[in-house]
Amino acid sequence: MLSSDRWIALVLAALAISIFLVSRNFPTMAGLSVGPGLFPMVLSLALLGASAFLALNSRTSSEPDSTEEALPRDARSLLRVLTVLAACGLFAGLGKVLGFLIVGFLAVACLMIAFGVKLWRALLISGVTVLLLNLFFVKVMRIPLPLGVLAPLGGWL
Amino acid sequence: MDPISASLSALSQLLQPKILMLMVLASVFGIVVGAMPGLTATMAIALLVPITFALDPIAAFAVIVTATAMAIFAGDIPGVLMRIPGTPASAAYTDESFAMTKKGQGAFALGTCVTTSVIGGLFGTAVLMFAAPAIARVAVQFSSYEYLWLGLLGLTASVFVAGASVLKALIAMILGLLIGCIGIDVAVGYPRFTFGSSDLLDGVNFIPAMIGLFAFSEILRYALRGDGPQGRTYSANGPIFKGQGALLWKYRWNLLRGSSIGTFIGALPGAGADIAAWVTYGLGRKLSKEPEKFGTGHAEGLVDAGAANNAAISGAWIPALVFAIPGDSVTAIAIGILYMKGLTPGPQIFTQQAPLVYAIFWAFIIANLIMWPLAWIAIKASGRILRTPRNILMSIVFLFAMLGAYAINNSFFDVGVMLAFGVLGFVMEENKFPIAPVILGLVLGRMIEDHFMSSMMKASGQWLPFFDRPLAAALATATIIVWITLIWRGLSPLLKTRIAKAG
Repeated sequence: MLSSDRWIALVLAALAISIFLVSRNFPTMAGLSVGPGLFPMVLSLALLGASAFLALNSRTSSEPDSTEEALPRDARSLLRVLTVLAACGLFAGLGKVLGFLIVGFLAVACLMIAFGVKLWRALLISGVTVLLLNLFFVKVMRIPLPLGVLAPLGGWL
Repeated sequence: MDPISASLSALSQLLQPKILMLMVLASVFGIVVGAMPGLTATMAIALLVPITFALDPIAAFAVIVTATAMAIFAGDIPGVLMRIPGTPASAAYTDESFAMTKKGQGAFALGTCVTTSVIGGLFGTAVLMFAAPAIARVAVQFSSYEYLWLGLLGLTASVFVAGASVLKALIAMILGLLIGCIGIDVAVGYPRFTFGSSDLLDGVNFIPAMIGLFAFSEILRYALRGDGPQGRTYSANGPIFKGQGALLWKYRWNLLRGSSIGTFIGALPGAGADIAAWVTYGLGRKLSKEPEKFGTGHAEGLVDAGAANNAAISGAWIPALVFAIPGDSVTAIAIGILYMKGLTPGPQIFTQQAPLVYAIFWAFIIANLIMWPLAWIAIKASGRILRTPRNILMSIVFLFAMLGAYAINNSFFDVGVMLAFGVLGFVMEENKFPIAPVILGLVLGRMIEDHFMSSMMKASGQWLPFFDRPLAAALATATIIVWITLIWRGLSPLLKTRIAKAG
């Protein structure tokens, strides 16, 4: 089994080669042999070299692996991570349509419940936090937040 | 505007009730975030960014400076009372301060932390006030060659001083530089690695990237690992400031040494308050007359490092203001805010935006002075702060992170950028890759490439003019020496292993 450092070295090497190949096709500046491709090409070669060193280091190093302690792999931990990612996806994907108030409330409430906060407490704190932040950003800081489906109530919010 | 008028004008603007109130609120925010284990000073500043949009530059920077200073101090509170450093800058002397707490000197240890923080912070500010304008007067004469070498030296130094493996810091820096290549290039306006997305034409906005790297990655870590085992929380009973004068007089040279080294380390790109604290704690122990007492709850151990970490905050602003090279992650955000406000950091800022520069200096002084009373309140309320449930706090941090990323351009694309960088930061930290070099690479990449291309055009593709000017030659020599040292440091373990195996 490959150590995490060797996996990372492999991914970085693949990334470096891809960047090098793409950058080679960038145009050059008039009258010069260099252009927009030079900087990424130099960097990709440096990354390739560094990833080779990383792979070598992980082979010769006496340390077992770079990760200090194994990551929890139980269903509950994974569910919490997925909830964080889903809440972020919900905010980014539906924020414009549903508006900050609804999406913010749903995202934070789901997160709190996933993190073990009691249902009624999660709903109450999410609601109050979202309303206070909306008030602070929109009324105090004058930073517009999307209203989405609540746009008809814009004057109130 | 002459320096005295600019300074007085800045002070009068800072002393407006609205700005003072904002500074107090920023202090409370900084203390709460800094006192929460796992939430860093950089995260506090990243989350404050959207609030700075609506503020004028002076108010915005007053808020940032105050919150940073408070967060770095507040990181000592859980370190002293729970043996969990609130921020990485407190980690160096957590065992020492906790040992004092176990001896019933918790309140005194916190008093030492506050007092040394204030003195270190004021020392660093004094250096910043005198050194930055003086360096700026020299820097006005810099051409693209000097800026190129300085940028490269800054990047290299950030790898050199990284606490983690040099190789991993180098990889992190290259990743940051490559991410900085995304968008229209500076020389011919060619779109690079945009994958047809118009949102990427201007490159990756590094404020959402910072929020992702520092805040979102922490939420992911919390989600995966949970609260973890909680140790006993001691309370800070007893007098906080009584006896501090005598202690500081006894260790006055430690205080001076910690403040000076802290300021110097802060000014090095990539080396922030945490490295300053580790270096000065180690040095303090080495040079102490009673080294055997270190680790047993010896107050001397707190003096050097406590002063150094707050001095480093001000030191980091020297390269940030003069050369647009961030001294630490917080000043990387500050540079981003300067650009957002239409201001360009560099030597000209000292003449074109003198009141703003002086306002930053004054903000440091005011922030350090109000630290004493606010820290006293924070120490007295520490039990309540430390009992805030992390599951509620992290959910609210999540909402701040989302809003912060969105509000920069009113764009949900930036929320996606934050998510991507959050995952990247999480994977990197779990594999012991430092994330500060990514930010430095991202901030400095464009500047270095810009100066490289300008230099190439001026030199008509020749390399010799890159070393022609005396200052450029000196900077190039310094950079190349550090490169050779780095390569040697990287290769020597491999060679040693080979020799050992062969022998």
